[in-house]
Amino acid sequence: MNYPVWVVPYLGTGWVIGILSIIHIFVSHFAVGGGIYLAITEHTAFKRQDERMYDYLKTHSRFFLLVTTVVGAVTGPGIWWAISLGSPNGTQLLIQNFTWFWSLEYLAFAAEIPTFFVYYYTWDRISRPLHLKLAWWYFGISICTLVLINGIITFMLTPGTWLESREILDGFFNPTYWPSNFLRLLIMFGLAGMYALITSSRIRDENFRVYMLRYSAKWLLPIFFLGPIVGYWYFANIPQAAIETIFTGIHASGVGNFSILARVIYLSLILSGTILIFAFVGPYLNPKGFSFRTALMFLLCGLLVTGISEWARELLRKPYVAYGYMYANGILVEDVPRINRQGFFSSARWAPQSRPVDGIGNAEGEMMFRYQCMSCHARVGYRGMRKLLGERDEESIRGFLETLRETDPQKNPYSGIMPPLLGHDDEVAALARYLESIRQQPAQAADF
Amino acid sequence: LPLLGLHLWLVQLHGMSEPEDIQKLPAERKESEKFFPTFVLKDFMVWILVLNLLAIMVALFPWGVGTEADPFAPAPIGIKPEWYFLAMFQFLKILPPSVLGIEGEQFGMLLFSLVGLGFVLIPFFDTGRSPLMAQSALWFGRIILVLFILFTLWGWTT
Repeated sequence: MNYPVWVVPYLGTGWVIGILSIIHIFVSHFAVGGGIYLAITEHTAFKRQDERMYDYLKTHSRFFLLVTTVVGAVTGPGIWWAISLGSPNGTQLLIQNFTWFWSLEYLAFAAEIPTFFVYYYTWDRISRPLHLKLAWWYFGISICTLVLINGIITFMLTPGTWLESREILDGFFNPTYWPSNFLRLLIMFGLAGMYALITSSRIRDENFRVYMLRYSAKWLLPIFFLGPIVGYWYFANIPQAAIETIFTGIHASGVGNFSILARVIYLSLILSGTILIFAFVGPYLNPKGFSFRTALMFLLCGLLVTGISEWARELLRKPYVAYGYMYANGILVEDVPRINRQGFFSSARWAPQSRPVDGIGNAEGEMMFRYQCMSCHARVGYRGMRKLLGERDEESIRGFLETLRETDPQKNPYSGIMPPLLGHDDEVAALARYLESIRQQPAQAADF
Repeated sequence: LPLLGLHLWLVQLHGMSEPEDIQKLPAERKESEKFFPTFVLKDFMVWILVLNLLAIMVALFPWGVGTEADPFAPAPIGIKPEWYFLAMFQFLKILPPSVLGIEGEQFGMLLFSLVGLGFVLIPFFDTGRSPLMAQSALWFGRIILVLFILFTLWGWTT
């Protein structure tokens, strides 16, 4: 409400953030897990004075350098841009709360990249013990980035006692901080193994290739043995309402009504399970038959499962940006009575400057839509209004909006997944009129 | 299945064919791998990938299964089971509502279970030592077979 709205047609801002984040998570987890992999493998190579392993590490670290510094460093700032445009209020909340933690994370990141450059460019130039120390140094710095950013990410789903105390450390060391740290660390081990399978599959010497493929495949074991335990620990600490949403979704599956959350969770479980089988029958049992192409496909599965699992985690947070504190559309929970009393437009700072851009001429309704709905719904496209409205006329849209205005869960079945609709009667009526006009418009006009 | 059987039989009869360009190669350049486990494991990896693809399509683009089943709705008129259940279906139809104090359909199910149990017990009953027992087992099978055919035909025609 305090910022202009960024309009992304078809996809919505959520998916711009989502796509960037999924790619970034996939790479940043490699940046940490791969650091552990490099340190432990170089330690083994040093102990055995294994030249083949050293040669492999040089190749692998080049691949690591390219992936993490190019893709990681592009998508990371990309997320900052996207969240500050797509969810400015949420970003503001996080920056104001976690200024120091975020600065520290940035410092760790700023140290991480040069450390790795030094690590890569000093192969065969400094002594092996010193080079090994660099590997452990990099590993330590990259772990710092995880433990720092993790506090900010987990805060959004489980702010915990911060909601009452507003103490920064309560928000940072929130209920899911530790389980999420361990869970991500295990995922990082797995991803490090999956990435290493790519470089291992290209080793020419067959015996050594077989050895490295098996060695790398074993890096997936921790997540599959400890993952369920840590996963349980994580789920035991998320809000009860989110757990109920999961179980409602699972029960509803029995009668054929698949909620998106249940579907995404099923998919995450199926893909995780098949990755374990794949790692076992592929690189572990049959390393000779595990080609570069197969390794790429395997990595694609890893990307999918990471993306899907992160998507599930984001869906759990519905309808909030910060659970119980700020709704997805940036409105604070505590502001709801005030906005309802004063009216939406007297609270929306940018609304008076706004003018109709879609040619419909209903600026008030459009602004209501942009500020209160567009963080999750496109006009046409992802969760598109035209499809969701179906054949409803203005009167039935108005009736539906009246349900959304209720804050009592007994009266509003959507209260667990959508923020309440705020504003005076005339503002809600303008929104209803606007939605009706979206439904009636020809495709091109409403697609903007 | 018959085609698959024919295919396997022909493979056994003629052996695997070798493409001409492979035939021309000297023996040391011919590469091969074992079907089991090497090729099977490779195949398995592809199955997993396809399974994942299927799971993604099912989860992200679900397709409804049509009208929901209503267990309380009356059965459509003239409905009949598959042929292999027709005999049992017909037998259950002619049973009275109550037999020996048991509900008719339950009595029927009990009888089918006993017949099934009888077939399971034949190897223990007819161990080959007594011709009388062998004959009894044979007649048990014949009677059940004839009854099965008769009831199937009866069910088919009514």
